[in-house]
Amino acid sequence: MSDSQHAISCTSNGALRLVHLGAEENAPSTQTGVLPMRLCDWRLSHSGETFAYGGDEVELSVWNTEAAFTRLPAGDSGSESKKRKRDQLLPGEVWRSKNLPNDGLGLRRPVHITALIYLQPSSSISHHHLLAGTQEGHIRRYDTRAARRPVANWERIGKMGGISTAEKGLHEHEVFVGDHGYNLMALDLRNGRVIYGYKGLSGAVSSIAPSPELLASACQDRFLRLHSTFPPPAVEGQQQEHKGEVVDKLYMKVIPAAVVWDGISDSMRVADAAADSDDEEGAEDGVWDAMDDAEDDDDEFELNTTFVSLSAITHVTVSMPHGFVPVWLVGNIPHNYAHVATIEWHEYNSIYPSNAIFNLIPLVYPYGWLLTMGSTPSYGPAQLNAGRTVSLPYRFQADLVPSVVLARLSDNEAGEDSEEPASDAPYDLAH
Amino acid sequence: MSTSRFEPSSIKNKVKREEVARKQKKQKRQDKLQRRLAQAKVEADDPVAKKKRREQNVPRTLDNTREFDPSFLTANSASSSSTTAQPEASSSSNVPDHGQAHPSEHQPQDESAADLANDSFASYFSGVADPTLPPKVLITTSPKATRVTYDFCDELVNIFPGGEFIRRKKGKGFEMGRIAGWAAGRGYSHLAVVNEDMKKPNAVTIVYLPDGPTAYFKLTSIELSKKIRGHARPTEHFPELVLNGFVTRLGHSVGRLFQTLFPPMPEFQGRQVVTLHNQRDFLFFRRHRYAFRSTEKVALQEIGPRFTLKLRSLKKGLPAVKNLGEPSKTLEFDTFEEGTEDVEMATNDPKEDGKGEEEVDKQVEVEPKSKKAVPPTEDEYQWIWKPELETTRRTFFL
Repeated sequence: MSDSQHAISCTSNGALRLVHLGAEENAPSTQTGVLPMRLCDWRLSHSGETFAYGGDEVELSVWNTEAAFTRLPAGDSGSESKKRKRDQLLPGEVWRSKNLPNDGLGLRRPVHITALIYLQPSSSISHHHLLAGTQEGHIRRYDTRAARRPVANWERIGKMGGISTAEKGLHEHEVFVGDHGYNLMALDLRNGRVIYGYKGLSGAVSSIAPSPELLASACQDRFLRLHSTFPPPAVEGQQQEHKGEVVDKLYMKVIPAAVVWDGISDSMRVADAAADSDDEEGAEDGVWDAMDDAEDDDDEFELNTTFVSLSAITHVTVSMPHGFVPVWLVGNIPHNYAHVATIEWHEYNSIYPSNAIFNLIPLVYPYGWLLTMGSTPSYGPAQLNAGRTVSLPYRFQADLVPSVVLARLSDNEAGEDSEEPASDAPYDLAH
Repeated sequence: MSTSRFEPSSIKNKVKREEVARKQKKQKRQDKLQRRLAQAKVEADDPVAKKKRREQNVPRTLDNTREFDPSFLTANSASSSSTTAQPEASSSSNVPDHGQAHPSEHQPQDESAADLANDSFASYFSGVADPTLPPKVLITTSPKATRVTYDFCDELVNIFPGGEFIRRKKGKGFEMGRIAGWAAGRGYSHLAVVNEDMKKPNAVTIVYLPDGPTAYFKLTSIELSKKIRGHARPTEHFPELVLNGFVTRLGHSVGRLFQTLFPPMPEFQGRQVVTLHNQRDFLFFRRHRYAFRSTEKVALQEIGPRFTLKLRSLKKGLPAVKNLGEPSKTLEFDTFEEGTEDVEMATNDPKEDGKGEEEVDKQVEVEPKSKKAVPPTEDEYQWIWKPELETTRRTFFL
């Protein structure tokens, strides 16, 4: 397990897939699992031991990753399924949340979880704390060890259209939340208050990526913005003195679907400057993960937090819905201001029907490889472009367009393999 | 500049002061007049000098000094990176496609072109539909509209060759999103909802069907054709389209939305032209008949209603219909088979027996049903106008 890499993905109709990517791979082995339909968000925990999902009338559930693949899915034998009670956990499921009690009018509260993150309240990795955003705009905090009902329920945070995305910030007790209107704000996790919001956005936020000093956001108005972030006040309830602002924005020619931070900051760049030859695409040592850091990242983060300044160089990788995968390098910023610049641009020709792809999640492999997974109505294999192309075949139904495709890369072999990707490698579709 | 002349404001006597001030002003006016007459005399003989003067004395306007927006779509990629980009009038909404062999500077341009070519309106431009058939437009009002709005809607039906008007009913099943879904199923390509407030139409929402963007415009300065003096009578011919001043990516989207309302092939014999002119984010709608008096001169006669639109928001998808009070749904599991949709119920439900095993003919039924346009439960905005976005007076978005 330690020298194999694998990626786990899940689609909104519940197709769970684990792909083992070995060293020399022409046909990666896959394992599948079945999850409920109508999923809106799926997250893997930091260690990879558990994952959680939530959706439209799908309660927040935490599953054990290994059990999800090894155990047979429930729907196989019809007689057993009828006997299962509504609240009984599915095989592989560890914990399922319970709906809040009926409201003041005695009506059942609808369940629609649209955003989901694992929280790490202390420096130790824990699978137990989760944060879910709903379509009504509420944010609920769960503790799987404490109770099935949410530990905290903060209402009316997402004022327009519900919570579209949430990400844990790198300061303590900080979480960034965006909704389907133009609101992007930072919340204090201790009391659920909005400590500051960012102005100047004119569209819904589709994805955010926090880094030690900056926050990158991808917005439906075709702009990628960099925001400054400030930690919540030391004592909860105190006034927030410094409020975050939009530092810079960059026009992307298409609506960006996702933005991620590859974990590189100033201090690392200085160290790698000698080692790197010309590799612009991703840093060699940047262990990178779609969700949050993997284990290898932890020590790097400790390094980074002390050295990062506003002139930090971060790689922000954004993927576009047409199979274009530009890699934006924010580099060599003069110390007075943070500026976003493009240094290299790789185009991968896609043979997807481009108007159908709307959720490409880019993942940067540790060695600068790019793994993107997209969804199309008729066929949507995920492509791994690493100089060689490996496809993760997945077939989607013609009428079900999965809206969420998420994956995670697990442990890497740090540092030895410094292979550079071919910049013009075609985006191959192998079934 | 400091005046060395005598300031009349220092005279305390009002009568005297006024007299002196008037005399000074008159003198100034006369000087200017003489200067201009002399200039005109010189330029009457020398047209080159006149041209030079006019070129030099271009006044600085808000349109000239527009704030640079990186989402300008220009034909020349180099000019889009300059800080003072001139707004270009685009009479066609198709961005020209560049050649295949491109150095890295041209790549961003291709990406914009590809993005435009792949947006929701692509099916209109791909030529799949019959160009002689006008796209069907469903026009309706907000519930409980009055006569003024109905008159305006009659004009709208006249403007769009495929336009049809249906009265809006009031009730739970007649929300804008549901009407959009229904209309999409019936083959309409657009839904236009004229909103009324205080007995006057004040906004129009244009929804591109089946799942396209929803644009909400504020509607002002409506003048119906019978109120226009000397108006022309329209005919049934498909009009030509003139779309001016759409410069940015958002502007292009709006321009394309407007273009898809009309049939792609105009009938030149009708000599009618519809203009949507964008200036400073206001869209001016005009409809004219033209006649060429000679090869150089053309006469215009205004036909139809004139109104002004201002884009307020652009939503992705159909207008939302909130489903409050929906019963809870049980967990469902998908069987991932090719080309079919089999759904199994995971929980205990004695009434539904073997629903997971669909017969072949049932599968066929399921497929076309699932293609129905379903409105979302919440809106997702691609662009909203907010006052805080207008950081200077020279900021425009379209």
